Amino acid sequence: MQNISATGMNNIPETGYYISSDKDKKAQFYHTESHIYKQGPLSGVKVGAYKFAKNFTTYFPKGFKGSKNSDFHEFLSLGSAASFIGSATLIALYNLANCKFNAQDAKAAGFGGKQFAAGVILYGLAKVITPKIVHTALKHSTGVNLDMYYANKINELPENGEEKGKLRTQYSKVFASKDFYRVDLLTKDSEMNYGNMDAYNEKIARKAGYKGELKASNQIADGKIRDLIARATALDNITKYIVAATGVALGSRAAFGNVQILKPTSKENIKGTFSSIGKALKDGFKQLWTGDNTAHVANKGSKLKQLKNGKLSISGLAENFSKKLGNLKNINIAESLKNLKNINLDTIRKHAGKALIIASAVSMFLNWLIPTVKFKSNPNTMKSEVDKTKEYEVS
Amino acid sequence: MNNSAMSPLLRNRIQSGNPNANQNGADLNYVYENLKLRANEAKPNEAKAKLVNDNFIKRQTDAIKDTGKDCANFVKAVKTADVNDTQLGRINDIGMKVGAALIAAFLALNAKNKKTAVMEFVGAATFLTSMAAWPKLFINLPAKLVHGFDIDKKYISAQGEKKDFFLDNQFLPWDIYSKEELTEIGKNTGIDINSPNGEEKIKRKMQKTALQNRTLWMATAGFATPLMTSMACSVAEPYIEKGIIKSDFNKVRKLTEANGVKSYIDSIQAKSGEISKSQAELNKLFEGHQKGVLGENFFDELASKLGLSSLSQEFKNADDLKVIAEFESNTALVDELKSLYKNSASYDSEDLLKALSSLNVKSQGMEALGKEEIQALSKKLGGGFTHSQLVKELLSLGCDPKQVAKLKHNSVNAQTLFDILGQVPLKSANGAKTLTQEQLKNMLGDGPLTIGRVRQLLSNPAQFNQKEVEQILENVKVDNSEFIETIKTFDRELGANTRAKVAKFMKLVNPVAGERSLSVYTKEYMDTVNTLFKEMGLTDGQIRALISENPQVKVPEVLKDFFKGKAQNQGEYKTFIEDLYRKVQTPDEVANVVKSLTDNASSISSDVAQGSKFKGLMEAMLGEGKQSCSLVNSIKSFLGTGTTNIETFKSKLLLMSGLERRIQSGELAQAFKDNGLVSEAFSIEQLTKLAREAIYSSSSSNAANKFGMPNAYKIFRDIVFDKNAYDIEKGVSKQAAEGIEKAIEFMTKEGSISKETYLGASNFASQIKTIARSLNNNKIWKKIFVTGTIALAAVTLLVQPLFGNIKKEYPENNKAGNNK
Repeated sequence: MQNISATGMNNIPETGYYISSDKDKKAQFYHTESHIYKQGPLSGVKVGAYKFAKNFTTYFPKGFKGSKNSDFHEFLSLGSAASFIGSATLIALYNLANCKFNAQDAKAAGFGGKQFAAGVILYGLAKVITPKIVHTALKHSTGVNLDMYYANKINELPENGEEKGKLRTQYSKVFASKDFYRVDLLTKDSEMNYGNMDAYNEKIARKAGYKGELKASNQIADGKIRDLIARATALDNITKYIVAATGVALGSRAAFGNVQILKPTSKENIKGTFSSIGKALKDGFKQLWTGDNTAHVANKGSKLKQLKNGKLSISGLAENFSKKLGNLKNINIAESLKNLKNINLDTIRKHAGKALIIASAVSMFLNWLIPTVKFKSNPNTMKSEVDKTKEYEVS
Repeated sequence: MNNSAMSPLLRNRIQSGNPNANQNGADLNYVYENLKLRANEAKPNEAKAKLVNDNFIKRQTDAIKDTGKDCANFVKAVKTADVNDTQLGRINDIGMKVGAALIAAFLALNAKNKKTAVMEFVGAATFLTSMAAWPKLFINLPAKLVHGFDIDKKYISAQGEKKDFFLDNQFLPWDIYSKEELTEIGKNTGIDINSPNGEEKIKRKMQKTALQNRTLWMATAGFATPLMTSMACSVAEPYIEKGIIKSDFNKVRKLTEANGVKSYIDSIQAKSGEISKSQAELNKLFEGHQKGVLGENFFDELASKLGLSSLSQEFKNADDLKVIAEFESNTALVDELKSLYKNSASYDSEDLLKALSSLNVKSQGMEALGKEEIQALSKKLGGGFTHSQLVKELLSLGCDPKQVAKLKHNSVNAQTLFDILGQVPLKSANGAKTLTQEQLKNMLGDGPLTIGRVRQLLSNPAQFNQKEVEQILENVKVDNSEFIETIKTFDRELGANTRAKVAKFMKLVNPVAGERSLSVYTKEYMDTVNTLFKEMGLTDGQIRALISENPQVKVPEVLKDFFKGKAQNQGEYKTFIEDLYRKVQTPDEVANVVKSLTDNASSISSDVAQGSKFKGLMEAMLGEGKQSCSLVNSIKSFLGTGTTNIETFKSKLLLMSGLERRIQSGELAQAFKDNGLVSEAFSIEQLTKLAREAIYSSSSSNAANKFGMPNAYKIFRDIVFDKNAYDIEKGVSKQAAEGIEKAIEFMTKEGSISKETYLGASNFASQIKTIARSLNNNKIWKKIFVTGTIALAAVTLLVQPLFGNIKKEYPENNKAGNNK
């Protein structure tokens, strides 16, 4: 029987011959049917770029035309475009007018403008990168790749005045929804590429700690996957904002006011821009940790350089280290707790940066830990004896 | 009808109520009757979902309730994972609020001044508000007015979730809308529901309009939210600034009006935490120095811990008194500490004697024989001996022959040996010898073995090698405990309190007279210039010209033209200057507050009894007595200079107009002529130009010393800055008179006349240019972004009527009235 899909006539090849080999069949299948494709480390970046380009070429025009084919996925994608435009506008608000000021004012305004721009950019980066880091860790501990993409092939309805609807490709995440994650695609993918419908589910069940023969691994995996999605998404949505706030705090450090953005006309200029950004990141992080915000960072150089210059000696380093160890002995916890009630704004200000950095690290760790722990906990639901007094409902 | 077409289940169901059911087949009659009975009742299940109809207030309260529900859902999600997708999606909102709060709090903590800190929170709040308000005001409201229905209609789903109706373009639960509602909407948009495809057309129009509007929302939200936030903040900022300055000033004013400054400062005690912190720091410093002499460098560190330089962190954000900067290396305190140490720490007597017994004495001249030597000699000589025997023995001991020869020729016996030989210097002292314990004890005497005293006793370089003395004394055990106790007690009882008092006093001074923070005075500068600009009615082009003027130009054209024009109109001149000065003059309450603060500045130093050992430390800490400028005087002069600066700034307006009046009436020219300044080299025009430069920008050009005549410049200056020539301006008010006199005094302070100098500073022209520059920058910024905001709003509103056009999709009934 020919492989004509129910939704339309798109599968009939235009050349007039039919598919004979398995490889071609697979290729045709991949062209017309939704499927999970092979992921790499840059999959997320590729999908993001694809969506970003499609926003302006396809989704906005379709939306403005009022096409029947605009769907929720496109609307969400437009939302991320709005975020991007918002970030750019925020940066422009602080930087665009500066070139019209006179030289002295422009320099001072440029200092603050660069800090603000750094904060905005770091905010966006943190929001995107933090979930990816956490999901990578979760992939190793639970076997579920929460960032797995699939190619969603949609046969559009014909637009007004057209004969045929287009075949549209969307890239969505398999585990985006808790109630309706694409278990059908996972099954198909397991069957096609691993020869066994339950290959994926078995892996998850094994990671969850089930040993021995698994007769219904899909039942185990289903519940585990749904719980994991719910917990990971909920925690993600808080963690990424805490890390983003740390990013903004980092960008507000004075080290970022000294960033030099050179015109990308020559290789040295590009290298210079990147190295000045890198230096600002390093110095800014130090400033955020110590709570100091002076514009000129005294650069003694790394400890290695200092050893080479003779400004620091190995014995000096050893002495320093032993002194620090000695100080550890002298920490009096009772006294420091007593000092807690004397906290004023100055102490908070000094330690606010540290607090944010530690909070980010802790929340990212919890974001991985809590779903993993609950994933691996196996309540024994199989009771050996039926409780005769309890009522059961059979549906 | 074929029985086999019916499934057994259906058959069973139909038969369930049939008394005549039999095994073979369905009772078809019963089936048909059943169906006939229920035919009219066949309808779909009732929609469990309902539309939400609420008003503005309910929506706000619902928003707060929803946030609470979201938090509960977050906890549920983490604990039991029993949430659905909508609830999971809403947790993102909580995260955004948490992030905004953290960012605002962190940036406010690190803000430069109070106004910036408050603006952080204002900015965060307006950002979140305008994210919600932009679509409501500029998209949903116009859509409702143009198209007749709510784009953002919400409904409550069958599961109890509140959702947007038009959220997903391909899933619109139309059965929630009742037919009446659709008819109403159809009427608003001109589609009759009873026309062919009427209902379908209405639904299609709603869907299309909603989709287009939501796309418009996504397209404009990125631009609109930051723009609206910055517009709102730039409108709010001046009011917030005014409010903060006023409230801070009022706090100080209340205190001064009740004469409470002195008692307030007197009652300031350092917090126990501060005291324990500084005591701990001192302990750490003294660690390992309980015994042994404290080195010279130690006292620098001690002074910096004890003195006011620890306050320099606090004053980094506020105004930095020059004196505080000086106190970072307070030599008076260091000296006082050293002298206190010298008089309170004492050497351990045993150790000292032991150490000093190895000290070599550089004695010159002759010395007598020692007791042991005489005893040995007596033993050797026996009971009786002759003089020559004695002489022989003495010479063999190494006595100086000359001295020996001086001895009497009488025979001496053992008895008198001691009496004579012990007193007579017979040996020459080459090389050093050490002192005996008795000698040492005699030398040291009875007094306390303080470091100072001992050093003084050993300070004769002729007698002792000073380097050796230092080396020896370094290793002597010194009991520093008394000194340490003194210092710690001083810090605990007086030092910490003084630091706290100084800090609190500066907190009273800064809101009023601060130069680098938000204060009444800084605001007065801006207000004065703003008022002047308003009076001048400058156009944008004129302001730009003013800013970009060559800095060599001393008299801004626009200023000169303005005052000249006013001076020409003699009738209205007096009203003009009265009006102008009244608008800018400092209110009386500010002057009173400043006076009260100046009078009470001495309350920062505590009274210490004359004989107390702390008195010296106290004075050294605040610099009184020993240094030429004490902290109290420095605060007083800070207040005084600040007041003088602002008063002279304001009275410059009167001086400038007064000068123009004198030029206009010819009085100035006459004065120049009368005093013989007019010559070939200096015409009246040139002298007038120099006079303008002196008043407008407080500068004298180097042409002035080419006057030629001796004392010519002084005469010129006395004419221009003649106190009696500005009586009309002085008559405006008492404050104006005082201001003018102060200004003239200030501007005629002696300065060098050889190069271009600023007479007593206060260059009005450059100050006005600085303020004009910042006003202009604001204008530039506003021009770009206000235009942008207005353009965006206009485009958003103008596009609205273009939406919802379904003519092309339903081309068949293209008659008027059926389609829109």
